[in-house]
Amino acid sequence: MKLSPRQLVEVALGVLTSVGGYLDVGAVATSAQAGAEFGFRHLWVLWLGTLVVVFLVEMAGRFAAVSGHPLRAAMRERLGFNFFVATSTAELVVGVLVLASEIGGIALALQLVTGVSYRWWALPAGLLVWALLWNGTFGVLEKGVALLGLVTLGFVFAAVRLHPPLGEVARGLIPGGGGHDAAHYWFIAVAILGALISPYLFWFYSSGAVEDGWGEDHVSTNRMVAVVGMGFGSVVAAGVLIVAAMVFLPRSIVVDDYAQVALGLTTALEGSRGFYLFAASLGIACLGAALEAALAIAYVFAQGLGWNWGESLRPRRAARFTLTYTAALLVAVVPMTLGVDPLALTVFSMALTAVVLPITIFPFLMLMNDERYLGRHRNGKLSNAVVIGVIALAFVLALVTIPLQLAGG
Amino acid sequence: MRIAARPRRSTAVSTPPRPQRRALAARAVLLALALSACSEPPPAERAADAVESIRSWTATVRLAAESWLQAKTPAAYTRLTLRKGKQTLGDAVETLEAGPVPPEVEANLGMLRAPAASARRLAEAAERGDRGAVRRELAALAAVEARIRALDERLAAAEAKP
Repeated sequence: MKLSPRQLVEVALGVLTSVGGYLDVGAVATSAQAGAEFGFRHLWVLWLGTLVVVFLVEMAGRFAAVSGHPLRAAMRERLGFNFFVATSTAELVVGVLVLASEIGGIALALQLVTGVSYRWWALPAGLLVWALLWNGTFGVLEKGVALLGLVTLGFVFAAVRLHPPLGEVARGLIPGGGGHDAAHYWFIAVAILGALISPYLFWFYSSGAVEDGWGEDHVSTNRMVAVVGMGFGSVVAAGVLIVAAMVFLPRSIVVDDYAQVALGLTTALEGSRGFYLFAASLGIACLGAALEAALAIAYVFAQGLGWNWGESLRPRRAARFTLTYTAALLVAVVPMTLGVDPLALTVFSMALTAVVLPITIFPFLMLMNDERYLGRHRNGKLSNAVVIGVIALAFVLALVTIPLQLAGG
Repeated sequence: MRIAARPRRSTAVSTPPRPQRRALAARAVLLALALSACSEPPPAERAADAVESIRSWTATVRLAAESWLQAKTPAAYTRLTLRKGKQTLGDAVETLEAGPVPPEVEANLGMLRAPAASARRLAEAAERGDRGAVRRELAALAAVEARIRALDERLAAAEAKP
């Protein structure tokens, strides 16, 4: 695979934005809880989730680059209106909950720094996201916020600085059980997978590829960005888990509030920089994810219902698209303003994401083998085997999530 | 390659008649309620959870106050975290006081109440900027934390026994 200098720059930028945009409130919350309660034993869940995300993101990008269609529009075309309504309704509920969690993350970051309750920050945070969407273009939002998100690499730096026992870290990469508290262990594992394999990521990525005007010549770039960017991104989530395992586990601190999570990075780094690095990481990561989640909701509906869509279009040229993300944001600020516990909402919405995964992932198998869309870029045997494996995993997750929520959530 | 594919019509499937659907929905709700009822933990487990929460938040309160002493965290964050700690510790003690608890927990209720009061005093001292008072309170809290840790470990061991 030979890349031109222009493609190399695209790959580098794509990798940086993938790393910077990898973390969101769900990954922070679930990784911190996992590390605090079970040490390094959930590290294997992170690599498994990342492997799934790498394959699915690569497929979403390849599909958009080759066919010029975003995934959700193609699903509507191939699977019909009834399927679109059923899946979009489920994804709308989950999407708004995820969006509420991300807004909660921004509000909490502001609470950490100012001392003013997150309930007061929810509306301004929602307005900030809305204003950026209203005024920004796709490229600025995607690359600008994600590059700022590189601040989350502070977790990796802190994790290295804490000198974790490498043998135990390596053992954590091998799948294992949860010991005495198996239900809770598996509930957290499901929540981590829900946080990593978020449907909004695929809708956003494939729509973004169309917005950026990708063509067949971007197939290699897309593959490298997916593999390297997402792969390195998972290291950031592993950093959160390792910091939590090193700081909270020896002190028997069970994470049930974001204020506790802040103490991880604070303890790991000298002076007050750890605290402010955490607040910045949480705020920027959640801002990026909130932009993506709000846009993904609007993409799904606009593409499915045949409206004008595009973040780079002026709002009046895509009025219904703009109205959709505005309405989603309005609804999403309500739970936080009412004082719903942000961490509980995050973990719940991540688990609920796992429930809707089968209906999200199943159409990949059909679309990625459709010659009319992909021609010679259709899935090979390996990719199909992975998708089938992921669908099986998604069905298992969907079946076990609610019982685990009751038993160990 | 742009595709102007026509939306496909989905095939009609037979759905149960409305009353049957209602009955199915009612059964689903009942099943969900039954599952929720099953998930209500027994008193001993609830007590163990409350003690674990006290242990966790005692350690959190200590870490937050120590971080403030080392000028690692701003006063506003410290105040909020200590207040949250006081509230959570108080709630956990209320849970223990409200329900039947194992004799060992009953005997240690006084000790389990101490961290909530300590969190309140720490919050007040931090608000005054009284570093000496925070140091003294932390020393006292460390001793209580060690005893709570031992109690929690005994309870966990008892719970693990067949």
